[in-house]
Amino acid sequence: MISLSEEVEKTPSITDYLASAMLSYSVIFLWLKVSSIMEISWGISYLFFYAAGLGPTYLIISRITRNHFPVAMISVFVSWVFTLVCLITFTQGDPTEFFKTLLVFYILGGLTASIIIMRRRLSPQGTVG
Amino acid sequence: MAKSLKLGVIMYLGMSWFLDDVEISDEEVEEVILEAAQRIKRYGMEIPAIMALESFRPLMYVGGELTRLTLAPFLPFFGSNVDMWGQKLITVFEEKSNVDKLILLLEQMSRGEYEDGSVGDENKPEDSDEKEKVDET
Repeated sequence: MISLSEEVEKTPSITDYLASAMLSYSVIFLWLKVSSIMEISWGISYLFFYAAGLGPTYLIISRITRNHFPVAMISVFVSWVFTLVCLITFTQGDPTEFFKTLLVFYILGGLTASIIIMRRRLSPQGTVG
Repeated sequence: MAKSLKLGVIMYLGMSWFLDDVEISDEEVEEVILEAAQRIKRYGMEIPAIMALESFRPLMYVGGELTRLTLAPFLPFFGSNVDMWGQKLITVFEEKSNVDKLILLLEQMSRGEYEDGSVGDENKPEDSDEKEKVDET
């Protein structure tokens, strides 16, 4: 007989999502400031976009017990919208390509975070949350 | 042209309407869940499967009904076994609790905690005690 456990599932609150979005934005903002001061290759910026998606999402989903992938995608989307709203006033010209690239790397970061957490959850001694 | 199209749609919907509602016992439900879990495990697709199941869990009923409407009428062409298995799959995984059971089973299989018939079975220790008592007598 397959029976389900009665334990209450933890779900992130709006505050958690906003905190994650602020952390993502801070990474992007820091990178943009540094790249405007120093001459750094734009190739490294993709690494920062990826890290801005991966880190905060990992922090959010490591606190919950299940539904990691949907929560990661919600977190990524909230982060992207937050970054879009905050950065749209600072950008000149057409920033569509920049925000599209940012979304792609955020999604890749969120996907990686959820795969890492899922591997931990499915490992023999693994406990998440 | 329009009339025949309407008639075709009505016949199609009527056919799909009459083909649904397979009565499945609890044992059969468990068999279907176990079979699905074993197939996923065989292909090493536990992580993508759990991700997809958790993501689409709220839409399972809608997905089941859409599958019943679009795919189920064509299942009999592939043989009675495929038809029966397809109907069972649709009926079982329309319910969210069964999806949760499948996720739980996949987790237990991946962790190596799964033994035949012991998935989350709270009665197992009592059964084993009873067996020991029977052995002693």
